[in-house]
Amino acid sequence: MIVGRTLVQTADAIASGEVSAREVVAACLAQIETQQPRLNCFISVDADDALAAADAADAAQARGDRLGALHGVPLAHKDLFYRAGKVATCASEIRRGWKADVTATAIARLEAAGAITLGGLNMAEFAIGPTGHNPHWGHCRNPWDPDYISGGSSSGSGAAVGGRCIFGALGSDTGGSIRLPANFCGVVGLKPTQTRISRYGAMPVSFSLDCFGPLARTPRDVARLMQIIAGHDAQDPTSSRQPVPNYEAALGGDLKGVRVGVPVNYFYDPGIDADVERLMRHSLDALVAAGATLVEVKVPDQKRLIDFGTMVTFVEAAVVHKQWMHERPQDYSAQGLARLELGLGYPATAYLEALHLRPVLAAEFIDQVFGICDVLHTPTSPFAPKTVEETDVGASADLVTFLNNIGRCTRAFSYLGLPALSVPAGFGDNGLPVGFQLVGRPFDEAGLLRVAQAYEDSVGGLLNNETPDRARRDRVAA
Amino acid sequence: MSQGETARALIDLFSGYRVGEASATRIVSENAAVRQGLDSCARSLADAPPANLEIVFDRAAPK
Repeated sequence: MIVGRTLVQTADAIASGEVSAREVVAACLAQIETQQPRLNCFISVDADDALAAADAADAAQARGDRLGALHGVPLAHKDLFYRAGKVATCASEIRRGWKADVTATAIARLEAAGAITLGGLNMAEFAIGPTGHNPHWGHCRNPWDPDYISGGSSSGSGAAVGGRCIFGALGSDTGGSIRLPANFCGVVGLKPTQTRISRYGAMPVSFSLDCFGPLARTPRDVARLMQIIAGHDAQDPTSSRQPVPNYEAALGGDLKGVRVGVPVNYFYDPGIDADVERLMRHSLDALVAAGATLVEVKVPDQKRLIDFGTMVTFVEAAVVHKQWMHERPQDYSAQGLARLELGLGYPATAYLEALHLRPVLAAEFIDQVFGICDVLHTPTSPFAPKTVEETDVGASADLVTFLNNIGRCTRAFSYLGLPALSVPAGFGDNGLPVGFQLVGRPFDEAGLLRVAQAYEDSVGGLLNNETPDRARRDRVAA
Repeated sequence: MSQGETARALIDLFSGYRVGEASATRIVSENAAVRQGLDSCARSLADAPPANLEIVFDRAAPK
């Protein structure tokens, strides 16, 4: 089955002539037709353009042209990434029908490597929301059971990859927005180091904390995507000039000599569900079986980092949205507007102090944690996916409590700017995916992917090689 | 006047935007949390040298 393959397997199959780009694109479009009514993971599907691009890819291959690393491979991206001449709604009412006049550097690089963009993916309104709820475009749903949340804000990226509609996607992450949907949808999601990937050509949430990254089914798939999108971009002067390593070459082998940090404070404090804790232990056992050594780590005050990150995010978001908040407040969702309003209430001195402290606290964290381990292992979320209905908190009094809980394991690393990878660890008691998070020192995405690959090899395939086609009750029974 | 009402009035005065009552209450509690975090940092960072995130990243990157 074409859509059951991974991104790298698909790229290899096209390159070898086993399957044509048109056959692959047609298979994905057929899968989208089946899954879209269940998942609502796409906002727009560019079927005609994609088929034309596939025919052009096949013609180039027939001519013997040099092929890119993603030749003919279908992808789709969160609908805040711009593609010149295409609508980029940001899943909002305000940008309904708005067309971009530039193309995001990350998408341009993927397409230059041969990828075919199938359309724009659903997301939280303006990337503000961790669950996948969206009152304007409809809620995005979990491919393993559509009664459950996909996670957000890159909800469609997680659901479309998990639902086998596409082989990979770009998402954005300001506090967990790649890692949470990867966690809930059973895929691999990487928030790279803050400045690793160009942010040119996309709607911002927070200029200081926004970070773009890939979601795909395996660590190797993510490595392939990273190889293409990482690196300095003259159009984003904040992007790093650090050399880009060979991510795929770093994969493979055991973990002898690798120290995996297990936090002794915060991450396993009351509030984490028992099934998540059990899966974390199993994943650590698998890493030990792969050769890793576990070391206990006391992590610096996470709550403080989260509070600072929240302030920086929403002050900057309020600046981005200021004009619309004044002129079109009725066009925001209640939750979106409530969260943006937070940003109007912090003193400038507190905001600047948190930004001033960021490198100091990042250096402190790096010294304290990565002085004694190579990667830090934590849960990605304290709970397995919950239902769409029970998490529809809107702007109610439960909003802050819920948001603080769902992002408690991810948000500090956005403030610190460190790379963090969510990897499927198994199924919770409700039969839905749960992931673990690996956090590394700056620019050590290759190290995280290497550990994730060794984990996958150790357990014989992520999520027991299950697919969302199998009924959840069968997974629970198993 | 409650703290929430005060926050609401100040935001209206400084930005011309009238936040909702629930938002004003959240702003008060979020500011309290941030202030506590900043206060705890200020004691230990009074003599900290200037820092730049990119330099911190580059120094800590794998060699």
